[in-house]
Amino acid sequence: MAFLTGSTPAGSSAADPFLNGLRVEFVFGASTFDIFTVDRVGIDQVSGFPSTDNSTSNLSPAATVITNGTAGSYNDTNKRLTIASTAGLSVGDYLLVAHSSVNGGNAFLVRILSIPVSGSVTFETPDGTNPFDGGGNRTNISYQVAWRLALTAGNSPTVSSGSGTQNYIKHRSSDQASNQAQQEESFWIRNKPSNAITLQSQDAEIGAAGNSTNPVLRVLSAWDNRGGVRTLEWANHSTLSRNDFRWSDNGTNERAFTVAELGSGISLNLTAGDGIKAGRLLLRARQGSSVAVGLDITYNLDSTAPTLVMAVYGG
Amino acid sequence: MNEQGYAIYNRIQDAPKHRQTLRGAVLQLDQINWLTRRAYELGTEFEVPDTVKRDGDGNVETDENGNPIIVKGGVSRADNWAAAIAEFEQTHEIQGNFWVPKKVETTASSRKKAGN
Repeated sequence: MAFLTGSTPAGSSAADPFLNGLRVEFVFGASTFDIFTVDRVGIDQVSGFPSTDNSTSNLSPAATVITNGTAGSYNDTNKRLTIASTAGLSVGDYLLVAHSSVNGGNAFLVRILSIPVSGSVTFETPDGTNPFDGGGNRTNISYQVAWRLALTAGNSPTVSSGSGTQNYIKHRSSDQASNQAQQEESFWIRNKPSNAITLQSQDAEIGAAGNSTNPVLRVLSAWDNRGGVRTLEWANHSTLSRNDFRWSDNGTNERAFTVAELGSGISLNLTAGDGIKAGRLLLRARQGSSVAVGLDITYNLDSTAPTLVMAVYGG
Repeated sequence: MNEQGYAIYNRIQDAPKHRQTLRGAVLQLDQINWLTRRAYELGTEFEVPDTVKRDGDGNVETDENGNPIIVKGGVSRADNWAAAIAEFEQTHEIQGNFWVPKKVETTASSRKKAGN
């Protein structure tokens, strides 16, 4: 067997870590579709087997759900993949699939978006595409469930620190003849630095005369992959109970941003009038994630004699 | 799902890449199809119980009404590739870079019975 391990671009080193507090998913499976027993999944802070931690009972689907087959079929009209059984599967779970005419015949991961009827799922790849879409109906699709461990980065059994902590994710499984395989990957998690975000600007009141430069927001610019942050949303400041920050179209709702945008700067508007502008920026690793890292921000806007002050608090 | 429950490939290149070879040696089309069928025939059906959905932190996940999310169980199945491969290897061997049927040793008596 050969394992595939789910990963995210952030986390590859102490200098390019995953941000503590974001939701992270580790996905395990076998590209040979022949796992019969998931022996142990764990996360330690040292390399090597056996893993001290045992998180097998927190997998989704349950480790005992090993469903696989070679006769999966895809309906390109209703975009459904039909497999032998969806028993034990839920939205957000992963399947490894392979078809000779898709992805060069190599196995790839898909995430279940819905289970409209028993035995059928709609799906997308982790980057949000459907490689089967538009290719017509398909048969002879090989598949097996893959298992995910979705947790908050920094929560046990993972560990985070100010300088970054290396976590080792370990998976050991067997086929039906007890041939065992194991794989280990490592992943860095780091606490928010004091310069997690920066605001750069002169005045930027909505509708104010003479404004020429909007403030620019940068997120974790020093980290190549921005700590895994992919979406931003404005919410009320946790103690001042208001939000004065706006996207450039004056919306505040959750928006997806590219790694480049997060690092190079996102243009902002502020509510009209000089004074303290307050808000809370929510960082998420995926659109709609139930887990967010919140940062309270205050910003002193004085458009007649700009003296800009910024404060950032972890929250 | 195909009616018979397992894939039947018309060309070697229709099989997933990892099924086109075994232990590094090339499989013929009929060998791939035999393995696929036997893996299915030797497969395991198993019961999956209903479970309460938990996240990786161990927390019970709830719906918008605060009720625990139940993951429906039922009957599932998995092919048994290990057993199919073991059977295949009893009757086949690698010659060069290909899987071929093992030669059956014939004795004088068996030749006589066969009229040889």
